[in-house]
Amino acid sequence: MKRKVHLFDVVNALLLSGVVVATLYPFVYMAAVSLSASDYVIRNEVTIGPKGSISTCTTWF
Amino acid sequence: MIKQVMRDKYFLLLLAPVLIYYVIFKYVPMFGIVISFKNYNLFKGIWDSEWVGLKYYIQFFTNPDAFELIRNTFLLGAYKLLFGFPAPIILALLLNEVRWSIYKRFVQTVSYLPHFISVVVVAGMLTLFLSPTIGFINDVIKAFGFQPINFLMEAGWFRTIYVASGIWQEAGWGSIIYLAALTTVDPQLYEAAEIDGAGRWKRMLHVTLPGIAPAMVILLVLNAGQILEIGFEKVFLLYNPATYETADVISTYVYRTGIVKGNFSYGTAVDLFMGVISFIFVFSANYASRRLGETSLW
Repeated sequence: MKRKVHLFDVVNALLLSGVVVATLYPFVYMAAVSLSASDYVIRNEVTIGPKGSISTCTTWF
Repeated sequence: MIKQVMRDKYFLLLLAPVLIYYVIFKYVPMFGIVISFKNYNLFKGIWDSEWVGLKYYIQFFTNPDAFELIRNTFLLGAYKLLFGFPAPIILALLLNEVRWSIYKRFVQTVSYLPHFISVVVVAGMLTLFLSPTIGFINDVIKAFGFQPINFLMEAGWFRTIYVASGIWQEAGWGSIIYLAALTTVDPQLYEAAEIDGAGRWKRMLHVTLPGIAPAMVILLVLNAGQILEIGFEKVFLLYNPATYETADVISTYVYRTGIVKGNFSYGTAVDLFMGVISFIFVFSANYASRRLGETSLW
């Protein structure tokens, strides 16, 4: 018996993607904040990736 | 008796660390309860301080803050149980319905992550995310054209923040137990239910849920016992004088008055009172589950 994809499967996958985003985003955000140059953090411009080139980050290494 | 001890000596040896732990860290400190009936003086010591009977208990119950403290503790615990208890069950049921196993494992792994960071870090992250100036939650609120909310300074938001962050941190981890319980459900039951014409919803209702009911009952009993034992650290890290109205719970009050202000006897009395209530909760939850279903802890 071949099972077809129900609407529920799609809704379920979307719901769980929501769970993934909700749990993972804070981690990604914290990682980005910790790697960004501090003036970008203060100006609230960090979203997903770190901002500021390595040369501006005097705290690196 | 001695014969039995000799026969089971290795089992007793295995049990010993647990017993010693409980005796040293749980039972011996219990003798400290005695200072709640004495006017404890650091210089006189426990034995030489004079007895005052129930003075500190009366002092607590005549304190106008007492009602607010008990209400806050109870409500915080009740909301945590009400929303935090079903969350891992729902997550486990949703995960159970996923057919693509790689995706299922990915979601599981990701949802465990927050469990491994400490409460202090979670509190720090919450302070950052909920900040009215640089927090991304307020960015979203601003993007929809509303005024930013200073979440951590408003008493009305405290319980929501506490419960929601608790769910965020523990739902994935909590779902492990239910997923393990789900694997013990006999697949034949699903097949039989399918042949009888049960849809997905009916199969979940009549096969899956009864299958994990024993695990649910035991966790409910355990959680109901902790309803008043609200984690001290998290409240302590998230509250501030502006939110005492809803956030101040018994354990933080005991810390502030008992340790910070040095009223050791009074703090002990309040804490013992909370312990008694907590015990009643565990006991009645267990009694209820034994009456309603077959499972109970003792």
